[in-house]
Amino acid sequence: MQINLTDVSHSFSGQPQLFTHVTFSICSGEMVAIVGPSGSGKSTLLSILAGWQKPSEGEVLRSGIESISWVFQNPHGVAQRSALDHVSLPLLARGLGRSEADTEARRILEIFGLLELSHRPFSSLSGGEAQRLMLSRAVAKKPSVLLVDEPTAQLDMASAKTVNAVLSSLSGIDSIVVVATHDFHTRDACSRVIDLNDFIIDESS
Amino acid sequence: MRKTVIAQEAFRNISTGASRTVYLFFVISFILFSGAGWSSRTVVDLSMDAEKFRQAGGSVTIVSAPAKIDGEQCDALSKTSGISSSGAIRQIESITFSALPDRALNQYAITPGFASLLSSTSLETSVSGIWISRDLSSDTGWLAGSKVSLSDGRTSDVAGVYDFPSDGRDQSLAYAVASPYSYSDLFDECWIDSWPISPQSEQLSYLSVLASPDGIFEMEVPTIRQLNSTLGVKFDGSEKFDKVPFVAVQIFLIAISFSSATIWIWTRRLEFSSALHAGVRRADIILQLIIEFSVLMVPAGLVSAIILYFFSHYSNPDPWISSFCVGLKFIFISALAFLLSIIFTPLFLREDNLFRYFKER
Ligand SMILES: Nc1ncnc2c1ncn2[C@@H]1O[C@H](COP(=O)(O)OP(=O)(O)OP(=O)(O)O)[C@@H](O)[C@H]1O
Ligand SMILES: [Mg+2]
Repeated sequence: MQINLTDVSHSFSGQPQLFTHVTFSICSGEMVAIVGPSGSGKSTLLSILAGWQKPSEGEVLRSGIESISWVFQNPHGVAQRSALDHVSLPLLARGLGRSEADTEARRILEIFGLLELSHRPFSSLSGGEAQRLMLSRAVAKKPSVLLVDEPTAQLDMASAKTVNAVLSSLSGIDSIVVVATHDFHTRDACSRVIDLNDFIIDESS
Repeated sequence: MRKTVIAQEAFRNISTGASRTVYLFFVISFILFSGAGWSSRTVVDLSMDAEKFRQAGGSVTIVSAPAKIDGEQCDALSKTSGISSSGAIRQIESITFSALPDRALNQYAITPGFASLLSSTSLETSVSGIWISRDLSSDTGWLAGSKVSLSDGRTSDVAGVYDFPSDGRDQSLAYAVASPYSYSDLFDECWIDSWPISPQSEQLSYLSVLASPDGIFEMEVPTIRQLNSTLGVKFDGSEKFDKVPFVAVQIFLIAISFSSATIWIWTRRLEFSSALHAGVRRADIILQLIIEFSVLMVPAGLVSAIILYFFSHYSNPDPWISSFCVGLKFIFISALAFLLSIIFTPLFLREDNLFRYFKER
């Protein structure tokens, strides 16, 4: 499993170039941080990796990629449904029966430190808990690519710490993990850093 | 997803309220009930108007040809299809009761057919005696079976009381006595209650009631009039029915049902985009929505059908089943439009709605 970006540049119509000549490749098992100031195009780059956005220039090659999971900056779930139901859903979607899916979902919730909350409705979770829950749901899908967008941006220090701990523990999984972030703790959890500042270059140079 | 799992998801959404259960139930019930209620009451109202027209004698045509009407022919007209009753009448000498000595009342000789036209129930041939008007009955207290004495000393039995309200009709019979007579003499008028066909349509055939012993050429042209024209010359039920905008209302209901289902799904679009993103197939989402809808549709439909049943009965002069079926059709149409939207709207759900949504906030 691999994603290769070659000379990827992007600008939204009528707006200046966000980044130019981005070239890198990511293999499964790697966990990459994308850093850069707000508005530099981190989320846009994630959507290009996901294939939801076509870059204005350059080539994106995906090999062996079957599924993608996003974890958004603002966790969104079904307010009335339980934490467990959220994590079971991707497992049920894979064809598992209810009890198998629930067993597996509990195992994942335990890794993310959420087992005690498994029966709480989504609406009762704190921001950090909800963020971790959506992360565990994304992991439960066993995606080829896991894209995590600013997982700690809206969290206080303590919640951010729990999320970063979980992210660090992800480094072993057999997926490509890309995390867009401002947070240097999050960055430290990653094996490689791509700084968008390096790709914001003058047209002349 | 497994079918049992899809059903479980649907039931969990319903029971936790994630389906917008209250909204959905309220909207379905409201739409089903208003469509069914409106249509069935419209049908009942038409029946009531028709009944009112008929009660007021609007459907009765009077062929008038003094001393030229064959009573037997006139009664026989009621066997013609479209004519519910008919009978002949002739004014005879007035009658004075000892209870009302100062008042000579109009008295009419009538055929048996006329008595059934008056009472709208068939005349029991065994009962003999005079028929008195409702007004006379309430002034004197006489009812069917009463024995009354005349001022000349004879007595008479009251065979029945007929209604002849002052609702705009010819008032000659309003305070009078009608006595069933044999067919032997000729009559002045033949009254024909033609229902449900309009009284104007069959007038030519009415002329068969004329007796023509001396040949038709000598006869005066008979006059034809309506017993009560205050509610219009005719009541054309099917024309009135055709004028009701059933189709327009149905289209409106389809649009309302379809768009409420669309709104229902669209307000949950993040949930479904997210489910798609979690790997749930679109067809499974549609099946889950159909189950969620059906779970609420069945009770809402039953409640509507029960209310519709009472609506179809309440002061409906006609059999309830016809207006009930019209209402039922509206329930089915709404439910179908709802289902169509449930199948159609999820086709527009996209995983990357999620991305757009999160970027926009
Ligand atoms: N669909 C779009 N059309 C036009 N401009 C867009 C669109 N999406 C993003 N942009 C612009 O592109 C720039 C980069 O957006 P992006 O969301 O990728 O930044 P980011 O690095 O993720 O920022 P942040 O750290 O605040 O999340 C922004 O200036 C944004 O306004
Ligand atoms: Mg962003």
